Amino acid sequence: MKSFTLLFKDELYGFARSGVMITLFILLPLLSLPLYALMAQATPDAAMMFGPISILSFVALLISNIGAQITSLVLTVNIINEKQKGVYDIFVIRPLPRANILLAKFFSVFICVSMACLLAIGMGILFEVFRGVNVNQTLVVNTLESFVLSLGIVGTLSAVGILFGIMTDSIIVGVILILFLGGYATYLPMLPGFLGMSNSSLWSLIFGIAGTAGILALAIRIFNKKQF
Amino acid sequence: MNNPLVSFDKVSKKYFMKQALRGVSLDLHEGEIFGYIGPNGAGKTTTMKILVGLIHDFEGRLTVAGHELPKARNKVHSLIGYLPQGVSFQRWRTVEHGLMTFGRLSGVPDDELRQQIPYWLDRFELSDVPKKKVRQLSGGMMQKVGFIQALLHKPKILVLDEPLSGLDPQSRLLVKEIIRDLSEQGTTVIFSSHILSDVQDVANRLGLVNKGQLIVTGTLEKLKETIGIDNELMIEFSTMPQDLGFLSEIAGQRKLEKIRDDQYQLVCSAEDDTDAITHALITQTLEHQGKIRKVGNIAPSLDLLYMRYLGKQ
Repeated sequence: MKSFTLLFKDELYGFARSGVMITLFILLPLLSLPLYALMAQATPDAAMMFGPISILSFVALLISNIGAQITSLVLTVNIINEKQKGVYDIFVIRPLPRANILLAKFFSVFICVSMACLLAIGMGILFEVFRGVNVNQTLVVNTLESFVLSLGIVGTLSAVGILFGIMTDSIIVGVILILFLGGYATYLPMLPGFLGMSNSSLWSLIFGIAGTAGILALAIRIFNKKQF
Repeated sequence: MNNPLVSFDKVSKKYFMKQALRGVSLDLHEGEIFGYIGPNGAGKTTTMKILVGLIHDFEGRLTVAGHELPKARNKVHSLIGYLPQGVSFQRWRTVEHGLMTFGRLSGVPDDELRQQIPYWLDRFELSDVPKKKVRQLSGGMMQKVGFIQALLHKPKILVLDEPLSGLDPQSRLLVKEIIRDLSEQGTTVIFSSHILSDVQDVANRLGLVNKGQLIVTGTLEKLKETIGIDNELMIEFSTMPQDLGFLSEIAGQRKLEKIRDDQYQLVCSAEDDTDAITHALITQTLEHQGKIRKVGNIAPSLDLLYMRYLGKQ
């Protein structure tokens, strides 16, 4: 546990120092504003298209998807890069479980991206208030539900980023895998919604956690067997 | 001799179709400095990676301080310090931050690290770099920082893969001195290098590996015997003898080479009694009114041994 806490803090610090975290914290909320504005103008069509989903929820999902895609790409490239440079050689020869290295990476990224998504949603609420929309309980519940779904998407995509980073040794292959296959992972937490399951938010959370845990377990298994 | 600290017993490793190591058996004892030499791709790095647990899928048996690898990997990791070839940290780290992290991960308390890190930075003449980003360091500086991360937890065994590569001559001297000091304090060191004169300077014992096989281990003398290198005698005159004919007489069937006007080299076989030949050279020179500046065996350098061995192959 001690080594996990240490690695987790270290990864957060590294994430902040590398500039990715700052970019996400600024980029995602900023990106959400024109999307909110665009969707607000297209409200009647959007309402037809998305039915009960509010603009706020829709943009929150879109933003979290973009954020998670970027992050999974960054994670994959980062892991492959560190493997190629032999950075892990001096980590895995320390008396600590190898899994902690990946888990620390995952949780630091997951927390940062989730916070960035939360910021983007906060921007959306401000936007709605500014527009004079009545922020009622239904809107808040809808937004919270989409945030839960966002967490599932961020979790599964971050786990996929780690898995592809561990599995491949070439940056190009890693990027191709993320771009072409990574997106499918986002369907997992969305599945309860598509299937029209009752309590779909709860099921999204369960599917998201189960998918993330499964993908992470596979990544850890491969990493544990990996020879450097 | 005491029980070996490290014991390789018929260790082999195959990568797909390529046999990287073939039945390597090797014992390392406490406090010894073992120089591991061989051409590129001979199996040096593979041996070291197996020893530090980076490669755990191998045949044979390997024990470190009584713990068998790869089963007791975590126990062994706290005993070993490792400097990989081309060591690398994440680029966003400062030197101090990187060293603190690696020290903590090895279980060293913070207050001890706050003493250890400045001590080693000073010892490696890097006192001015703790706040520098890793990406700002030169290759040689990075190599030294990599060396320090391997020392912070005071390992019993130090595994150094090409520790002297990329270092200037002054730094090489410094690193060799540090390796010797660590050995005197009881640390067992295994290191590889392509700079054979450095290996010869530091190692108490050598191992020559080629095509995955450990050809010979032992002192330089043992390597000389195994490889079967000739003894070479050299004589240099300060006053030339009146007649040099005695040189050919002493040489007999042996090869006599004139290096300079006042310097000759005699190539003897391994069976020759070089002491008797040296004695004859001295007495004959004096009898012929000559004076000697230098006379004796030319110790074959490790480079020469190595080249002869590879040449034979």
